[in-house]
Amino acid sequence: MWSYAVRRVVTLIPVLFGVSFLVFAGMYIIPGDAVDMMLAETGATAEDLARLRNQLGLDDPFMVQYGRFLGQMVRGDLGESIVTGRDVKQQIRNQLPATIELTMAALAIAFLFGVPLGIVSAIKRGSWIDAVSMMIALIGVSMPNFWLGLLFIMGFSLGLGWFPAAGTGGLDHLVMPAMTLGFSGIAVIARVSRSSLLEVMNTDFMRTARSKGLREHSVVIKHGMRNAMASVLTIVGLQFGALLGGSVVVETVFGRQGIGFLAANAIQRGDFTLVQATVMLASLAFVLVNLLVDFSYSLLDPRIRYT
Amino acid sequence: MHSRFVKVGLLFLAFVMLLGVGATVFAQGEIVYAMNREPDMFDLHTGSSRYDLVVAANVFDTYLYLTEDGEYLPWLADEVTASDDARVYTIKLRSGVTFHDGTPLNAEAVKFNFDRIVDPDTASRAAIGDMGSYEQTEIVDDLTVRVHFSDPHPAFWNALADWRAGGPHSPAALQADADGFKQAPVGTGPFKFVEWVERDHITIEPYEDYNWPYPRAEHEGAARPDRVIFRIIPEDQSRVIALTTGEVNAAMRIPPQSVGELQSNSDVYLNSVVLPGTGVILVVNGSKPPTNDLAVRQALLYATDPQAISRVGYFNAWQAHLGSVLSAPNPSFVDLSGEFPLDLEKAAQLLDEAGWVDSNGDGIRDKDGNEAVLQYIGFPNPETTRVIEFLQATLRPIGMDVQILELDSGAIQKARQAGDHNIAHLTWIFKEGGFLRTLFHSENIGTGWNFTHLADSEVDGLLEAVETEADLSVRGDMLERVQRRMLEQGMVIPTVYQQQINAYRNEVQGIKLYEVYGEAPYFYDAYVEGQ
Repeated sequence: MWSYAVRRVVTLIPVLFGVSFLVFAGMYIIPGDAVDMMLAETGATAEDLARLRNQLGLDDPFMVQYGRFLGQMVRGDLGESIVTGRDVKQQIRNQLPATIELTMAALAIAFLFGVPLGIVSAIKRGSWIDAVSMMIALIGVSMPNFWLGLLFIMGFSLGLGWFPAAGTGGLDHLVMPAMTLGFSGIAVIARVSRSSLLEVMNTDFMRTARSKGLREHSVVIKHGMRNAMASVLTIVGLQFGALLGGSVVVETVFGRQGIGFLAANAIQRGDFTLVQATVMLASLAFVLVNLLVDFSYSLLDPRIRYT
Repeated sequence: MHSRFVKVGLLFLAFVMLLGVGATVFAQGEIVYAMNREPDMFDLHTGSSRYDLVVAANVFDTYLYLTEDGEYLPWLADEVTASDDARVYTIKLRSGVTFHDGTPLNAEAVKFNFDRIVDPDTASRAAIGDMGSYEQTEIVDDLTVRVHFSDPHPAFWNALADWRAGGPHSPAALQADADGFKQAPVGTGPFKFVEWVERDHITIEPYEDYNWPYPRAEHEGAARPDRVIFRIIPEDQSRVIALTTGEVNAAMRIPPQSVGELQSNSDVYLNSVVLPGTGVILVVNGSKPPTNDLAVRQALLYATDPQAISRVGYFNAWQAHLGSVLSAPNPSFVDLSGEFPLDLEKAAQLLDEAGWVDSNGDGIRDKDGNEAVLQYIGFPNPETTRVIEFLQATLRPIGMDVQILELDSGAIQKARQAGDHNIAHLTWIFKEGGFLRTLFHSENIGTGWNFTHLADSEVDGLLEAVETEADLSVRGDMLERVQRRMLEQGMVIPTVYQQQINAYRNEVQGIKLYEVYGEAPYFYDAYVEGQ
């Protein structure tokens, strides 16, 4: 188990290097840099643009810039935002809690609603309950976050006045963004729970459990779901990535603090250092969560052993 | 089993409703102003974002106050005089002015500020543009300085009425922590900075010792509101709803499509002002067919109706542009709306005379192998997209067409610099007419911001002369000639003015949008009724 874990962690290093290269090259290739964006509002001359590019090191060759970026990353120095001059590490530290809070809440909502929905659909396969839950799942997958977010704001803020439309704060500020972000997760998790539970429903061990005289719900939960959980957990891990991506839109719609809002603004402004840092962080979080998911399989299913 | 579900459901509902009970309660005299974008920084010597000024206009004062009539009134400066050649400015400061940290605004502080802007270490993005050929600041006495330029610099008048170069920053605070100043500014304004919770809000509170309000203020002494909180809500609809529900009591940048909805809401009122600068104009590329032909450019002017564009693209919330390249609040604005009135027959006639005919029967005119099809390159934005689609429909009957290409802002910039477009939208906010040189002088074609790709010696000559003409009335005449010439040459097509539309809840009174730079709100006289 330990040697497996070490091997997996070591393989993360080339993955993160790959990500860093793609992110850096992507930002380098797209036309227009932060200097264009910053001075777009002031009307600087070509010399002004060149001077500022030189001061920010944006006129160095690609490999020099990339090397500098890698060196900083390895030292844990994320640099300063070239637009606002703020320390990037500090900015991320300030924004991260709000995103973790939102992502976790959304994941919890997706899991707590998605799994039961999947179970009910699997048990009542072919019934109207199955049809309705799968219809909800279809809507959840199809509906864009920003649209759902605006519908929630119109319904629950403007219509009912239950929740604030925007901002960061207590639990009341979290409910609508988390529901918006979690909704597509509910759909995905429900569908996967349903299909993996259906797969195990007719297996021998389920028949044995029933013939022992266990009640149906304990057959389904204790025997069925435990076996179906491996695929559900895999999808939860992948959902984490989708939720991190979705937080960009949701945080912007709800004017919430967070890494997504930070990243979206940084992309618009061509703020290289900030975009790179946020994307690297999101990639790191994503691979780590999926690593944890891999490790958790053995806890759920003792037959799985890591060598 | 069923009853358990019902109980859990009810419990959840009760929990949700309980959360909703905590309705927004404002502190006494607290204005919560929703912004659409977060500022970058408040070291205005370094920064360049317009959104910095929304807050900074209340934290910093300026030496002079520019009125809509183009008059410069004394503010932090009791008197400013310029030498005949506009190379030397003498600034006499008002006495008794102090920064929020208690240090005095004196000649030393003024010199420190000007010297710092031009210091390469400051890496100034915008303020340095105000400093022209700055040489040095000479201290005459404790409250008087002489600022020297190597070339005539008439635009310095405007700089003294602008927060970037003309809004003194506390030297003591900058010397103590220049990086920290970016997020915690210290000025002489009616409000002192309190806190900035990134991506959420910025708070300012009245400066108790303040007693040098701007010339149009309604009272004296400290500012009225207890506190102003700037909330960052980028999504237009969320911002409008936050105002409607009372979560904020003031909001900037109301999108044109929401104006009608808010007008019918009896709890709120709107305040709309025209912003200075170019307004929303279309720049026409004079070097790429078919718009390299003057007749085509002039036909476009006859075929464009700013009134209809205001109606179709902006629901009449942004008014039709009556000038050419300067908007109504700019002191050198000139009404040229009668020059090219909507006249499709005249447009068609110009095209006919110039030899643009439909030779292949496809409904589109052509000449020398070039089709009368305009390439439009722009940013996907609901208003400008509606406008360009409307223009497309307008031009079809006279045998012209528009190809629409929408890209991200970086790609647009490169495409416009390369001259890949025939027409492109352009919107700039600025008070100083001399700024037109950046946008329309031929020296800025290719690498700069001149997307007309047309080198017109008359326009170039006038813009160069404007830069050094010390006589402000002669300068105004020159700017008028530039605007007229650019319209006659079809280098630009005016569409609408850019408007700052704010909305306030009825209890909020007295927020003034600066008459020549409406994006900056003055909260000095504002108050919340009933508190």
